[in-house]
Amino acid sequence: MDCKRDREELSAYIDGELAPAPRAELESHIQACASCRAEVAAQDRLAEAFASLREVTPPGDFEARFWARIAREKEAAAEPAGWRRWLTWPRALTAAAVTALGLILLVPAASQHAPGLRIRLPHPTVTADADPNVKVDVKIVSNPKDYELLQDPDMDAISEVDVLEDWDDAPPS
Amino acid sequence: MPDDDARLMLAFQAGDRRAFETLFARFTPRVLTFLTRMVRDRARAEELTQDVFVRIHNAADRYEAKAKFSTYVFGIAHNLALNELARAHRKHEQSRSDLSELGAVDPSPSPLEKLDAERTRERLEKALGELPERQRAAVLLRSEEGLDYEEIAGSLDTTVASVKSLLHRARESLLAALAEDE
Repeated sequence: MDCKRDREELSAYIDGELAPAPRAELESHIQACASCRAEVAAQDRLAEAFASLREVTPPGDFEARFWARIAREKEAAAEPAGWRRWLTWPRALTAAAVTALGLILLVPAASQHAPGLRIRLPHPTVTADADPNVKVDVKIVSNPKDYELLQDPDMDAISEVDVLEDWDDAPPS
Repeated sequence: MPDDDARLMLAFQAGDRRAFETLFARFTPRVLTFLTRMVRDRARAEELTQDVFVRIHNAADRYEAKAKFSTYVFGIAHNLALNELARAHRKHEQSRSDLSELGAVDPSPSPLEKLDAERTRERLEKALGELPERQRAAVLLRSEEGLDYEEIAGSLDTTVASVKSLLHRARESLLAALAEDE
């Protein structure tokens, strides 16, 4: 291009982004400048090429997939998160291998439960065993980031583990 | 004054699910097209388009009609595209074979004016794929989606002056690439 005219300005002109005054001034220039006319013509051809691009059409089930995902996410959000969800799975376990910092296991003394039992887990790794027919309620008293619960692959008999509630305050002494 | 789409989003915020469905129908083809050209992977673009609308849906409570809705939508889409491209780059998944999926270039020379629409499309898609990411996003949002400079600046989180520069450089590169193929 021989013309030293600002090419960005020419691009903005083609996009209709110039204010009226500079636009009129540039149009006068274009009429007199073969180089700028050639540039405008090239940009017009590029615009035509863009017009040949095809819009990508979403598949027929796209919206149904979206709403199904929203439903799944809502359902997941309503469930206990992560570690809590794991705890509430009604799986048969014979023992719970618990890696924890400051967990308390509570087995309420209700008639269908085992006799009351309260265990403070002072060390990172503790293993707790329970009767297959005992319902074990677990109260978390530490920061959830401080522990993780692991399943022993051989466990098969704890009938149910429920989380009673989060306990954000310091554990009871 | 919110635009029509932003009003629909505000209606959804107030509990009108149909308003969201209208926005979904209106914008998914555009967002999917944009993301397909950005990440150059149709299946991944579909997933990302779903991600865009899940984010919009789930953040509806926090939505504020500060700009045009298209700016909001394409801003999210652009960010997801950049994340995806960075991830793909890290995993060395971006390859020349990806580009070839969008259409092989016919080596026989022919002036741009005489090319049929299909070949022009293929050449342009290839050239678009070779642009730097921000230039590609800017030129797609302008030339394909029809966003104005201010909307593009909002979507790309940059200035109008930067958009002007990005568009100019993108178009120069595209014209040069198309000219090379002639």
